Amino acid sequence: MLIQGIGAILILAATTLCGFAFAAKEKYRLKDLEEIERGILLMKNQISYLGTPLTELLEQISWKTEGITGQAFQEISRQMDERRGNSAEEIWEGIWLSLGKKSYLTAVDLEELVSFGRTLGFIEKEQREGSMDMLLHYLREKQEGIKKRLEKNGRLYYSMGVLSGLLLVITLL
Amino acid sequence: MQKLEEIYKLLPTDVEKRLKTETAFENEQIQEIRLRALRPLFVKTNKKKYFLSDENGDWIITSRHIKEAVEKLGGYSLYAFEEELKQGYLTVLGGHRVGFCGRAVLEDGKVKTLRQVSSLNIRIAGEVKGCAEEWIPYLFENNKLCHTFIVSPPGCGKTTLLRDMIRCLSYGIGCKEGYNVGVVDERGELAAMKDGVPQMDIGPCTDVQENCPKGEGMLFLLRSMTPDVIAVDELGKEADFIGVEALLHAGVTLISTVHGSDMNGMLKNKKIKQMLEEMENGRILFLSNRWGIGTVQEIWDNLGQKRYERRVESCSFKE
Repeated sequence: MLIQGIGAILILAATTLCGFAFAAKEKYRLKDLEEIERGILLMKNQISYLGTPLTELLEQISWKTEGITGQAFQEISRQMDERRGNSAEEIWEGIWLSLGKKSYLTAVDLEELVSFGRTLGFIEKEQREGSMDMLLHYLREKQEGIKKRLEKNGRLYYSMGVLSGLLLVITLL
Repeated sequence: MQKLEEIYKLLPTDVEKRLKTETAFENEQIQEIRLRALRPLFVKTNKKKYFLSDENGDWIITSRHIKEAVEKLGGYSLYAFEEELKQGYLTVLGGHRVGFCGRAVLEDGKVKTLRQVSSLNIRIAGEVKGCAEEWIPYLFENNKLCHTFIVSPPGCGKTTLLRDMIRCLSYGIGCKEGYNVGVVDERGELAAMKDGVPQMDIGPCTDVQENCPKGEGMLFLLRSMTPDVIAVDELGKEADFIGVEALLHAGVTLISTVHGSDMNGMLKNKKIKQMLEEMENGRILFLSNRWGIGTVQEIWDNLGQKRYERRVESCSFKE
């Protein structure tokens, strides 16, 4: 009886945690996307109005942004300062792909970021700003989607976790 | 060696490796590295000119090399150097000047920027401490420092000599006391500033106005720093002379480099001719690389009197 009780508690705890994790994953992705958006906006302003070089500006932004964005910007700035890559694109892509694996960003998010890196440092203002706007549009669109999903399904994820645990316990008992 | 490391870091990885493994000029001083699309990598040292090759023949620079070099030299941020690109050059950390050649994009008949860069010329900045010491006494007339022009064709060591003159005057080497020297470093070659700190030794009493047009920079220094001497590199454009008149009337001494090869050529520039006529005491140092870079060939005063002439084969900058 005691073992059955412990088992039931463990199952319930595990499925509830799964529900939480599922909701949290979306929340963390949302947070990452928000921070990236903030970073890109800061970048856009600094490049457009001050013409600050990337090494300097990415380092400054890294202090103002959290999570993976801060880490990525700092590392990109460092590698650019050390001239570690033959192009900005190479450094940008390398860092985002390596750090991206440890984040909640999806493969599509990373693909968007990488393709943005192809115009990094370009001299043509229109092209540079156009690609920033495209990335910002993508980030905002994804954030909207996640927010709606969380609003709609957020509680559902938690309840589903608890309820699926209960169902499993009842069935097993 | 440190200087070369700085430069190598700014080149594409392949080119960097090729230069590092070349032994032909390991005991010579590199002065220029030239990258030209689909032509061999070129290096000029203080002794010889080299086209680099390997077992397959000439070591050819590709368009990709040029593109990567431009990106790295521009700190991956070409937009930040649009003005410099318009002029066809960029000064990188360490005061080394990189010249670009490519397809000019015009707007209203003026060069807006450069596209499709096809050639790069990296001129390694040389800091030769002591090269000006011998010439400082020639710059004085009745214990008063004269306005001075250092004149030569490109690549004869004008900037290096000017930098060392700044250092000497700032420290007071070869003169009774040190001077407050203001430097308008439009292209960043004289002081090679980084984060507000000069990377070259320009003396303890030197103030640097960097990245500023020469004419405006002179007026700025005059207003703000009360200098005894103002030094500028490559005086020549009409706009550069905006500050010169104010400076001459304010009793501040001007030391500048000028492109030219002889007195007649110098006097063809109306502004310089006018200045020489107006100034009380002036000196003109003519440099040549006939006997090595940095050889002072002749020194004239502003009244057309020769004060010095090199007659014997002699040393250039002592490396």
